[in-house]
Amino acid sequence: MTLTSIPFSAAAEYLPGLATGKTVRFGSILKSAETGRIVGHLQETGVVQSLLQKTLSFDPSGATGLIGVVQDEIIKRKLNVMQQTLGTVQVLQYANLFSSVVGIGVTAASTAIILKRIKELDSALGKIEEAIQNLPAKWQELSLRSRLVDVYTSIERLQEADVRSDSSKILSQVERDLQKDCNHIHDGLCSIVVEAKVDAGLLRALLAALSLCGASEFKALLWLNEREAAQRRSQIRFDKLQELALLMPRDQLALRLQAGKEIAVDISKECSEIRYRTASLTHIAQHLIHHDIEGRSYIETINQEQDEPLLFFPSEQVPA
Amino acid sequence: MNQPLSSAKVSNDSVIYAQSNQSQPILEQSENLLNMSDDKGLKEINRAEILDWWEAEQERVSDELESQLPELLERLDLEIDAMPIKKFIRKKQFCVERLEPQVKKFLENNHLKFRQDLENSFQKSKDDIGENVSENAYQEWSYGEMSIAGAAAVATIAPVGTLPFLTAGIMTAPFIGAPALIPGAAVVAGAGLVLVAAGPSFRGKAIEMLKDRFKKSMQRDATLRILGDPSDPTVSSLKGKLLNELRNVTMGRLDALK
Repeated sequence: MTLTSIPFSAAAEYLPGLATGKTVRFGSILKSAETGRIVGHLQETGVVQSLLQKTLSFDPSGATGLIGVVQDEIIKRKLNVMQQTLGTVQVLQYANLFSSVVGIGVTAASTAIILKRIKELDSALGKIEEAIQNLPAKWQELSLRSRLVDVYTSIERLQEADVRSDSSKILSQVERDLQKDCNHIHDGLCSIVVEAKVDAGLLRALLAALSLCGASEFKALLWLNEREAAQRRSQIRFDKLQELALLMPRDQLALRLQAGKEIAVDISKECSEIRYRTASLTHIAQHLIHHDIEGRSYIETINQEQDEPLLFFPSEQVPA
Repeated sequence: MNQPLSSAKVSNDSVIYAQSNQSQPILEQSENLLNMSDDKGLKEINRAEILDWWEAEQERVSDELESQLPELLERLDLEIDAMPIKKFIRKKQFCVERLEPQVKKFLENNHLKFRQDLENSFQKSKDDIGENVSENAYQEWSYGEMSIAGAAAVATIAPVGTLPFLTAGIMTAPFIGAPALIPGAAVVAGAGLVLVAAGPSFRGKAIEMLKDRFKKSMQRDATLRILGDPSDPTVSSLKGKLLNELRNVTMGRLDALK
């Protein structure tokens, strides 16, 4: 399949369905409320990336990342133009949709953005470590900040892969390293959440790191055009998130968190969003396989889009 | 931007939006295609929805049981308030005749109510999720049936009526000032003699203190039987039973989608 034949449509087409509840968003997936079937998936594009690189605003400790994007002046201007054709209500819906899906997965986010997030996360972790005198033993063992340096290095290598003569070799190594880092972070999380007392900051930092690492791992596999492996890996990641979810239901987390129930609710929502986003990746990989779209072509296509911030990739029959 | 698909738009050289000469909205086109077969990638989304359902129900059971517990404790307190002092000599009998039925009624009524609520919520969740893929062996099962299936894999679920109550409380509520090593019955007998010999004012206060201690002890035991002990999952309780059943159902649903 060529670059120009990816059957995207404009995401704004789906706003009425979302507003009436006919369509429901789960991660980047839109589902029909009536049939429960997947209608397609939302995809952010290079427009978002260029905006975010200039005026990136996000909560470094937030597992799902970016916030306050619609406050950005450039986006506001874009929305004002849209308002003239779509009307105020739909523009607001679009803004909500945009802010809820931006940063989804890493299929669109450029490595520069990911690296910036990791730096912010590292800085936040440094502050947490200074603030907490008795860090859990597992935390010491996990040495997350050192692990973040590893992830950072892997993603830097991912960034330069397209100009390397040995790019496949480099990317294979990167993907292997990211898988290892992901598993370490997951194991650490599983150990920490069952402790009698859990620090909310530590937990959120670990979840953010897991989310970033998993998404980068998926992107590396797409770059390698290992779509089946990307699909299987996202399923494995989902299995692990399920394992984690069963260890930390919201009511029990509220008892273990020193910060209380409200934070438990926030963290629970973030975890839910991460699960949906990971589940969405499985579908994206399956979709690429079905349409025979090369993983790297897909990433390049959405990166090169400079007009629409959000695209929609409609689903269709996939042979079992 | 909200243009019909029939007027396909080319954004730039790299992206072409869906092109079609049909006037049918793309949402309907997609749904029609999807209705023809199960789409892959849906299972993980469904599993994520099931986990959300489980987490919400787990929280609801925990919160509602906690909010209903004070009503039971109040009923127990009223029974103890009305308890003649001579009954302190045979506290165990009083517990069996007056307190145990209150607790048992609470357990059975709430187990029934929560099971019904969970059954309804389970059916609604199945409908919402559209968990109707043909290979799902659990499609026709009820919540009750699924809660039993594979129960051994999680934990043995004891019948509500057999949950232990008043195992420790009777012996751990000594009369004020009684040496810890004197057996409970002897303490109560001694307390009776002391109370008879004392004046009405002292006697009233002593009885009040005696009952307060008994109340606290019964409250602790009843709470343990309803909510369990967060630090000791082996303690049997109504909450533990309901959550174990819920977990069994959840695991069954998740496994069916794997």
